[in-house]
Amino acid sequence: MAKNLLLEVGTEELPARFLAGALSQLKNLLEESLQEKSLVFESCRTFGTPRRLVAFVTGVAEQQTPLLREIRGPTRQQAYDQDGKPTTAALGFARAHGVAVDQLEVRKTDRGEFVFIVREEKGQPALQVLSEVLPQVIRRLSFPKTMRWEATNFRFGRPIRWIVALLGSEIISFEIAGVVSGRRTFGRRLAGGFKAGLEATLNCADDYWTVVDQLGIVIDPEARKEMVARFAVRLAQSVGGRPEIDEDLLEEVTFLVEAPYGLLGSFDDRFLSLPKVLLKTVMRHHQRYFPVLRYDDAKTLLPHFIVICNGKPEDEEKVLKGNKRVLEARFEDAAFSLAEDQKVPFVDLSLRLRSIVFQEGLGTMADKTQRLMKMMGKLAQRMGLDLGKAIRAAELCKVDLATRLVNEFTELQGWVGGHYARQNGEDEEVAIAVEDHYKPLAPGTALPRNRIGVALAIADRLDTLITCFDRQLMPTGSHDPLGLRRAASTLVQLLAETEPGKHLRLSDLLSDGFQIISEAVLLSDDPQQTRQRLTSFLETRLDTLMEERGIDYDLRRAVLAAGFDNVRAALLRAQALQEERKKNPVTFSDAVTAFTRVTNILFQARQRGESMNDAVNTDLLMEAAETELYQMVTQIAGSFNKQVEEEDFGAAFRTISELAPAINRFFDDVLVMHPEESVRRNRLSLLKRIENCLLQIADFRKIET
Amino acid sequence: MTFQKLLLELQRFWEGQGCVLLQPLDIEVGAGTMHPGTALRVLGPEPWRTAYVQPSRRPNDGRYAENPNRLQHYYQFQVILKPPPNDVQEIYLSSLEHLGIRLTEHDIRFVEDDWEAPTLGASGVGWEVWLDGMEITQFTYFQQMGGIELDPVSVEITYGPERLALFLTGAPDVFALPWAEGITYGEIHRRSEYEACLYNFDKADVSTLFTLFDLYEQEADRILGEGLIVPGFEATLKCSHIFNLLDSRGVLSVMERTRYIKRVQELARRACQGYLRQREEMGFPLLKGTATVSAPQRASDCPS
Repeated sequence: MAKNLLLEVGTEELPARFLAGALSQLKNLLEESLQEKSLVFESCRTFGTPRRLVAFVTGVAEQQTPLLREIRGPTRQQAYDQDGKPTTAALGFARAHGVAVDQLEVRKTDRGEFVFIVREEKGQPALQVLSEVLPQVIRRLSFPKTMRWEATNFRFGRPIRWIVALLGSEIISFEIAGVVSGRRTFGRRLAGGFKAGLEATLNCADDYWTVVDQLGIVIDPEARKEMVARFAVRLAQSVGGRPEIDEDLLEEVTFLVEAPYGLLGSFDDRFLSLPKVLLKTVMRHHQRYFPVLRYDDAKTLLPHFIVICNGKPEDEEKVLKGNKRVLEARFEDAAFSLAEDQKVPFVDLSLRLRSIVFQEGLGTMADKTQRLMKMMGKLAQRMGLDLGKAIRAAELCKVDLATRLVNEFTELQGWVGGHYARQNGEDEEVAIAVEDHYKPLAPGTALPRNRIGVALAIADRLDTLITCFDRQLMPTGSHDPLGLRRAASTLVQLLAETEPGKHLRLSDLLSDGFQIISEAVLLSDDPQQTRQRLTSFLETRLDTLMEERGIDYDLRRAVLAAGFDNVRAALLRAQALQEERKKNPVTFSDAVTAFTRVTNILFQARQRGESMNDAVNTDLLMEAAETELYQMVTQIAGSFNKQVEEEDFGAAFRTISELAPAINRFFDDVLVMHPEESVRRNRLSLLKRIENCLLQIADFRKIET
Repeated sequence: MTFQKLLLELQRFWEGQGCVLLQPLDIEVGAGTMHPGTALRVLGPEPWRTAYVQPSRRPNDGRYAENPNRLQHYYQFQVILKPPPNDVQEIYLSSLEHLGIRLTEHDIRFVEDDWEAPTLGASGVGWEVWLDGMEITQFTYFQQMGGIELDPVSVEITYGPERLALFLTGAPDVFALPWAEGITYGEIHRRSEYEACLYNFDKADVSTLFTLFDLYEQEADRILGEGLIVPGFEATLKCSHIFNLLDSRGVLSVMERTRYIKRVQELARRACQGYLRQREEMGFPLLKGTATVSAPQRASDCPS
């Protein structure tokens, strides 16, 4: 009879950001281990709150699936004499494994004939298998950061305080970090008075659902998330508003509580005169509240907030009073910082950048600003920006790091710069660029709103990457304290997915960057090597971006191999190929096969030291098939180049695909490697012309057909 | 509830948990962690439980007594439990009930917040404890001190008594808190808070501070070299405070700042290593006297 399995690992409060990862690992590890151990089950689901990681597996077989075990003995010649009678070797082998000698079987193997004992091993009982599997699974869970807390120095995300492990009604017994598994679970810490400490004893795994329900815990994160969102909407509606729900905050709040209960609080109207962004940041980031907007006007903030408590407090008024007090104190702090900052002339703030370090050995933020101004000069030329505004934006972009406000609320960097720039009467385009230059904050999030902002975002990342790579500060494994991986991914995204990316080549950007930096900073490493390392780092990020955009592995390799100096074009080329492959797989594959014939033969010819020209000598064209190919190549060249120029790589691919039949006829009818050197060279030169076109899209040899 | 009553009640509670009630360190420190009762005692295998009030100074946090939420001089109530009992969170929560906070009426959360003190080479993992949205305590499982991995780890509970008192009394700001019947926190500290800010930010003589730092550093180096651990550590704390003053005077360039931190860190590291060596040579005396520092409820479990 199959049974259900419950595992609940009770912990002290796991950080919200650990939970989603831990739960998906728990599911995968458990499923893998059960399969590996041949323990059949129906389904496996995981659930969790800050204080418990839960797995529920249904239909677990009572025993492992029987295993056919083969034990190899001596060779046949050793085991039987000429009469076919078992020798002492055979008898010994049988005895050693406790079987009768007539149960031995002869089997052929790669290495000859051997005698075997074939035994169906009855599977171990599930209870026993699980008592080994479960602690291993728990041990293998990984967290962004681990800690020690008890005598065995076991490492986990937070201390483990109890473990429930039941198969049906039986305890799966094991011990980990000094905690012995059992059937006792605990409720919300404070429900019903903490000393009473609600706890419950489970008779069997299936009891769990009723028990957590009685304890008032919502173990399913999805259900909790819905509850949180419902609370927020309903409470906001009660004051004619709607909550501003950002997905990250919703997720975090969901993982901060075991039993969501929402309350609507309000703050003094007078704080509404502070900038909205500031108010929202304080509410969201510092207090994990949902801000409330007017229902019919999302631009107007209402003097309310929504707090999600861990369970319904007995005295809602007290809780609200406490929260209001903290929120208003934070607002006071912000108002104080804002007022203090405004006493300092904007120019003086920029002087303070001289005392804020960028990276040890890489100067201060004032030095960085100087470099960014030079870089913006170059970018303004390349992108056709207003030079004055571009340089001014660079000059101002880091000034807010010297403000009290950013010191208090680091997440407002950028926004504060834009805000103060506006107050200082700067051009709006400049202010927006300053505000936006940290964007995208993460891959896939909002991009800067104007071209100067894009340029500044590119310049900033380029400077950080070059200087840090020069100092060997590259990220290793998951360790990336300077956020260089994010800087590189977002740089790639800026180049690939904004209009200005069209005008920029990576090689130019790197040359400009290295030149400007080497004038200001003593480079510690060979710039050529740094440049190579950085380029291949960026290539990996671009590959990831392409993967995220749904490009197949072979197409990514083919496009990257043909170059990605213009990052935007590289992504467009890959997307075009993906689209063509999807629309018409057969044509696509045929064209690729034909192209590969071209590139392969050229590859071989180069290896043999054959030379080729850029021009084709028409006088040397002898066969019909080569004349035809030559004519077609000449014919399509114009439209192909135009399509490439216009970045319409789909059309360019279709244009050059028209050559496919002619290419195939050429290879069928014409001997490329003609004994006559001049003919041979002419034919190779014709193919090289095609190859030149192909390489503007991809290295087609890397594409699977 | 008054401020002094709050401190008394916290001491009473933790006395009941078998803590040694130490008194504040008579040297300027930035946090209760720097008291030898924490910084040195968390090292090595000897069990240890202590609780004490520690006046703390962070010159940079001053706001000339204008901002009711920011002070350069304030108090910490510090608890160390080594090794931590399994129900350490519950014990902590019952300390709040002991202060008259009925937990079921409120919203309590443990929100991730790891902690690090670079000058001491110390780090830990834990939470801020939120009471109705207000951070009232830092709760940390110490993992490292003086660059040394701790075994066993200690739990450090650091209450912010001003915040707790604000919560309990409903006073509008810290200066209005009743310290004792008829006298407020402001009446005791406001003027000195203002003067200290003036001194820290504007008046402290920079060249004297630079000289003092060097002198204390030399002294710490010399006496640590002679194997006098606590005096050496105290001279290190002096360096740390003078560094903080230099920092609030705004005279350290970023590079210098980093270098100064490293200089203090190095002395702290030597003091911690020296302490551990010294205790080992003494045969870790508190390992034998375990009963005197363990919780009474544990002791009563033993057959008499």
